[in-house]
Amino acid sequence: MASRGKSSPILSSTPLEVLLFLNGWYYPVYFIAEILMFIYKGLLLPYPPATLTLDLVLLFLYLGVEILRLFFGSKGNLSQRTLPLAVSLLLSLPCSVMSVYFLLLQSFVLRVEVILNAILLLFYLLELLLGIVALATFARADIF
Amino acid sequence: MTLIGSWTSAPFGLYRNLFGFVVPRRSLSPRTFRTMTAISSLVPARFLTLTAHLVIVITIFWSRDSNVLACLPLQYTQEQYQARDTELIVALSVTLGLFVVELAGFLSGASMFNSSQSLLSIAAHVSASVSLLFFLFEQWSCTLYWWIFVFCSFAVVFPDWRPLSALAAHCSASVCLSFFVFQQWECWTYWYMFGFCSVLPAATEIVIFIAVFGLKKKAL
Repeated sequence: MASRGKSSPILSSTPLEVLLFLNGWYYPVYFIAEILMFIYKGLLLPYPPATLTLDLVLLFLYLGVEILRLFFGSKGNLSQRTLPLAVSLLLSLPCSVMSVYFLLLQSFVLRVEVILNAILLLFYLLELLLGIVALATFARADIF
Repeated sequence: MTLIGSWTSAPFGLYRNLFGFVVPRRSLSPRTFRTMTAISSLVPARFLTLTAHLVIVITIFWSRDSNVLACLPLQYTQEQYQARDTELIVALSVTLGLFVVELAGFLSGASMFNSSQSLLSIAAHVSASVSLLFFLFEQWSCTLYWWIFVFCSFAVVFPDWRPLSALAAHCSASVCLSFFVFQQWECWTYWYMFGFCSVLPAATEIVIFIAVFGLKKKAL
């Protein structure tokens, strides 16, 4: 809120907000696509016992961490607070580890999965860079 | 509850009411209200259809072998295979170049809130995604790719960013024609290049000319 006689500039990063918004729509599509692909792979490919269950559990954990990351990132950016944004940046590390797992280290990797995870990693990279810049902006403004 | 609420949160001063519709926080004029609510649902739709099309194009790039074999005769030489393969690679590369143009226009915000461009883009990308799915799974002949490309490229050639779309058309024309010359493509392929790279930009320019000077519409 601006007090009379002094206007506070808006420090929220619009590109970061755009990326988080689009990521918030892209991730559910990715999740549904991964579920369908796991059904396809489970029926067609010879999975060792319990590996498919492991992959599915990891996917659901990924969903939880990603929701938290996007929520904290968006709220931290819009309210110009450093703590939620920092939590979001920290959470992007396990999220990118999960994405790399689904890209490279899974039992069976489909070509479509490679492309979908690559797009997600691109999102994470851009959000990390913009998040660090936004964090610096908020932290600098907090000092004064 | 707040977690779920923010997951489905709408941007830019809008919020979801009980029925899930996106409404603005403060009161607006009816015209602004209609455009804002329509547009905020178009933006994610456009992004998702664009991404789906991109994913399919990259998948076809990766596994184009079966499509190339589909347009060769049963007894083919290595040179024939290479020629067809190169043709498909060029088509896919031009598509990817146009994707860069469209993504640049969309992500920079230049056409993010232009509802007619968004609708055109959504329609073109959905039809392209569905036809390319068939192209991939049914192993259609590689010449059919050019038809899909011409019909579904309207969204980009139609001004997303007018000078840039003309630039994209001319760049792709130069690339295709250099392949045409050096790889000694057949003459009929020239008609496709002509159709896309020369006719479509010129046709849109003529339409714009008539609209601006004849019908006195504002230049976009």
